[in-house]
Amino acid sequence: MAIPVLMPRQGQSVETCILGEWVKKKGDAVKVGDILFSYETDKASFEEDAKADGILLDVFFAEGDEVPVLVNVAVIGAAGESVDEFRPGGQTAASVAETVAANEVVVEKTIAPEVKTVAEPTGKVKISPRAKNLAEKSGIAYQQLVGSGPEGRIIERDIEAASQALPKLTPLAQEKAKAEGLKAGETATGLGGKAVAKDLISYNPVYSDDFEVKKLTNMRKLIAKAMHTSLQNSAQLTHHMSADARTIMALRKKYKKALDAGQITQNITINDLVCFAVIKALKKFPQVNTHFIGDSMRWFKKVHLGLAVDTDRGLMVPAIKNADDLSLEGLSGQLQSIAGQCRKGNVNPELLAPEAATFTISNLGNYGVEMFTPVINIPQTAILGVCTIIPRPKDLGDGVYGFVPMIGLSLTYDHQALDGGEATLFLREIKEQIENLSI
Amino acid sequence: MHAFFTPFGVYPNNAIVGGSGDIAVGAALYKKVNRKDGIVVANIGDASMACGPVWEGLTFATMDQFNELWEGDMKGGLPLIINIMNNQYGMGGQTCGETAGYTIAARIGAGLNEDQLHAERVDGYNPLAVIDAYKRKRKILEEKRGPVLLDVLTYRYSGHSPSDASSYRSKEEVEAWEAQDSIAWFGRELVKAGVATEEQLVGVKGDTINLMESSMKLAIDLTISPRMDMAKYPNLIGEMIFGNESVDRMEDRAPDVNHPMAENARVQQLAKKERFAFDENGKAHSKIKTYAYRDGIFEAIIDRFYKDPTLIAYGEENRDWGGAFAVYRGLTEALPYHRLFNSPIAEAAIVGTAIGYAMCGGRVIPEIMYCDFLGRCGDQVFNQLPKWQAMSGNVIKMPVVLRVSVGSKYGAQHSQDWTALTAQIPGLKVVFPATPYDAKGLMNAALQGTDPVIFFESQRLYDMGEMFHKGGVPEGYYEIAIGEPDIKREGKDVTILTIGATLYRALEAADILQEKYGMSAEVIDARSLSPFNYEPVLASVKKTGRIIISGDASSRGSFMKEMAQTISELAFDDLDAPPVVVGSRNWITPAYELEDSFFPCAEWMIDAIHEKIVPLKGHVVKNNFTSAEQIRRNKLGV
Repeated sequence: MAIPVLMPRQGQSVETCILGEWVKKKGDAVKVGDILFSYETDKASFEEDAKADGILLDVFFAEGDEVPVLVNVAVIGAAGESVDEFRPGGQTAASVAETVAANEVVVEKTIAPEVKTVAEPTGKVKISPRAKNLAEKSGIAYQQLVGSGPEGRIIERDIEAASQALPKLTPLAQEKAKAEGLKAGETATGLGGKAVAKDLISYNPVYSDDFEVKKLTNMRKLIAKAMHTSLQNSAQLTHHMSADARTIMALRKKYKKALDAGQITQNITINDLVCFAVIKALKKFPQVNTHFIGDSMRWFKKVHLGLAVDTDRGLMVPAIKNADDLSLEGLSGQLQSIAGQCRKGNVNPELLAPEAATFTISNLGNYGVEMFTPVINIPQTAILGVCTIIPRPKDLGDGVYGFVPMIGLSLTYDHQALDGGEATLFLREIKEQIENLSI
Repeated sequence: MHAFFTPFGVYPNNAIVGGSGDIAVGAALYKKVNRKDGIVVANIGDASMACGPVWEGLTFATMDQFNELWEGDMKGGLPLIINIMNNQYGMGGQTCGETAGYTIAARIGAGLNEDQLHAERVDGYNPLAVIDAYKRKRKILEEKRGPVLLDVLTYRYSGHSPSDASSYRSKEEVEAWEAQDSIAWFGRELVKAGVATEEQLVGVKGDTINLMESSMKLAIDLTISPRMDMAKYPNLIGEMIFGNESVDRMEDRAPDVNHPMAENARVQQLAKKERFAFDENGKAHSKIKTYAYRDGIFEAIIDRFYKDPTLIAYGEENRDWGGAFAVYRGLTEALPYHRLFNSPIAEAAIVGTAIGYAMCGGRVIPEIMYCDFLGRCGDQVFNQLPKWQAMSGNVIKMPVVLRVSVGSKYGAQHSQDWTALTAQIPGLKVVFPATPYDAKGLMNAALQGTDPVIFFESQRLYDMGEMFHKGGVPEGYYEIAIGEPDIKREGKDVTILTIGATLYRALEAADILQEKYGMSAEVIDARSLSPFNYEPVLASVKKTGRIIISGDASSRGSFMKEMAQTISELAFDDLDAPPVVVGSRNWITPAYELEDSFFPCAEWMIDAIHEKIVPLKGHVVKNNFTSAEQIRRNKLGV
């Protein structure tokens, strides 16, 4: 199937580009990555390459033409396929365009019932001076209108009708307005009186246009959707507790020493130790190692542990399958490896699905967070937030008080699936496991 | 040729043969009515006695009413000498024996009044005979038994113009007259009588030649008598076309009136009239109670009669009858005969005498009963009235308000709107009010000025009450600036500019456009034709983009066409269609019963809009305004 080649959009402010040179000619065979044409904005030159294999079936603009961005400039497809639907000004609704090329005035086919157009202008166009003025001011290509005046003369009302049917925004401005919820302002500086992207305003009286709007990455969109869905579709609340971290800190110290001594190859972190402890607790509380799916719950036999990983592209929560089968070193190795894959972007997408894990741990302890309310990765029923270690006063017995490093634990659970008591007991179990962890 | 010097009473020579024949009568009328000393001498050629306006002037000058009807010190004839310089020729035509039949010009007097104008033939080659004759005639004038006529026999040695080779006369004829030459003969007589010597005469002749030669040299010396610097002052001639003065009265003295204005029956009657056409509920007052268009004109005129002692008015049926359209009803009682009187049916004399009256310093309102009669006073309206202010370098003033009534209902020769004829002539101000408020305000402005104004009225309008000006027509004095159109109804979709009485048909069309087609029409009343301020019209067209221009004149060559062209030029970029003229057909005006097919009406205006400007949804035309029909009619000249 033939696909159009668009004049790419280079930046938020570029309305039109000058077509530089056609590297491929009409009829040439092209392969993905072949350079099709060069183009330039007022600031720089670019090259556009083919996004599909095929024949360059047609090109709609000549070298040197000023072409609005996002307008079709060519078509790639199989020999013999029709290109008409992609021709700017043709039937394709997306290909609204105007251009200043000498003989290439293009208008959108209007849909307003009062405006009649003819495909080809016949003879000299009859238009009143007033209508002509208005047409020029409003960017209406009157040559293709059918006048409603005496003897077919195009009169003011014809231009008014055509003008109402035409978009008031350039293609770029339309897209920007849609994406950012903006409207055309008082002034329109574009070709034919159309509002260009920079004419769009937000109507906010406080901050006006003192901001930059950046589009969400797909990643961000997914996260946003997941988070919002989570909070909307579950009954979340969080319990906070802290555990004496002296045991796991001692273990960490021990493993560090062993690593430095070359006795082991895996760097066992606090997080690894906490995860290990949590897996143990989950084995005792199988009702937490579940998915809540409305009228029923999935009780998992194995623990598939989700780990929230912060990456440049956003939060990822990969799952480690059968985590309860792993030794501490094995778990540590897998956690490290999968986090690395997330950061590199080559993680198996199946592992990222919320359904992949049965329980998630989100560790913000490294960042000094003392307490937070993590959001459940539904349909999982709970998530554990691991916080930083802070020295807290503790009764050491015999009236002796000392400062003990305590690690914060924030358990968010879905009250639909679990009751407070169960959750508290589970959290206490984690605390117990951490405080009494032995390998 | 047009040299003049009013302090000496010398008025400019006229380039039209006989052109001053009636003007001179007006000058004598001025002296008489305003009790000025002196006499008026009309130097006129023997051939000009064939000109209609000269005859009309003589008819006017010999009206019986001067002796029969004018009262007190006004009783008696005009102080006017018709001095025929009978030089035997009019251009190449020889009056005696060829182009005239009077044989002796003095016999013309016999046809004019009982006194035969006290006409005498005088030997123009004998200065003493001429002096004697003038002494006799002057006495007659002082006895108020004028006017008088002198047939002063003389001869024209040279041709009429440099191109005249005298091919129509023999060398012997000229030599025979030269043998009798007045200067040579009278010189011999002086020597014979011992009054002068030959040498002295030679000296006088030499001095005279020198004087004339040096005068001519001074006149043609560009350093002493430079031409107008049109490069430096490109508007200099334009500035002389009109005086644009504002003068309450031409002379400061008590006016001759029969009673105080407040005692005037018409004035008292008007006080009881409704000065707005509708009552507070929008219902029209009865015609008899409504202050009408004719009342507006009357109020302005009677006001001026009591302000300006020089003001006189005359025309056909102006006294007693009160004018054919009752505008002057009540004036007869207020004014003595010499300020308001009936003229002979002689339009050339009516206008021509008014020109003479005004040139001498009086204000005057001549009236042409029907616009169709303008042709009867063509030279006066086209060549004399508009020209003398500028031709005199704006020294002479021309405070003449010529009332012209446009007819209807009276067929081909009594229903024509010839406004374009006057508006085309430089030097005339032309107005055509359509409402009582505008009529009074424009008449006040016309009478306050010192420029000639052609004041068109319409017989369709005399009964109209004031429908536009809030509060009705003010009782006091106010002026409406000549040249300012007036928006009678505001609108946004189409402009209808009207001249004269079509205003009311345009309003009717505006109603239909609104009700049937949802279009709001802006109706502008031109009120004046020249001068004319296009700015309000252009502003309207800027808004509406469309304009039709309507008036009762036949459309070809009409002032509507002038306006359409000007608007096209000035508003081209604002126009959504060409300005369209909806005037009368280029026919004779048919009988009253058929007038609907001749004069524009609301339906025509709508048809024209539909056909030429913007097609109206669902409109079915009844009249053919297509381009093809327009071409066809033009081909046929109808």
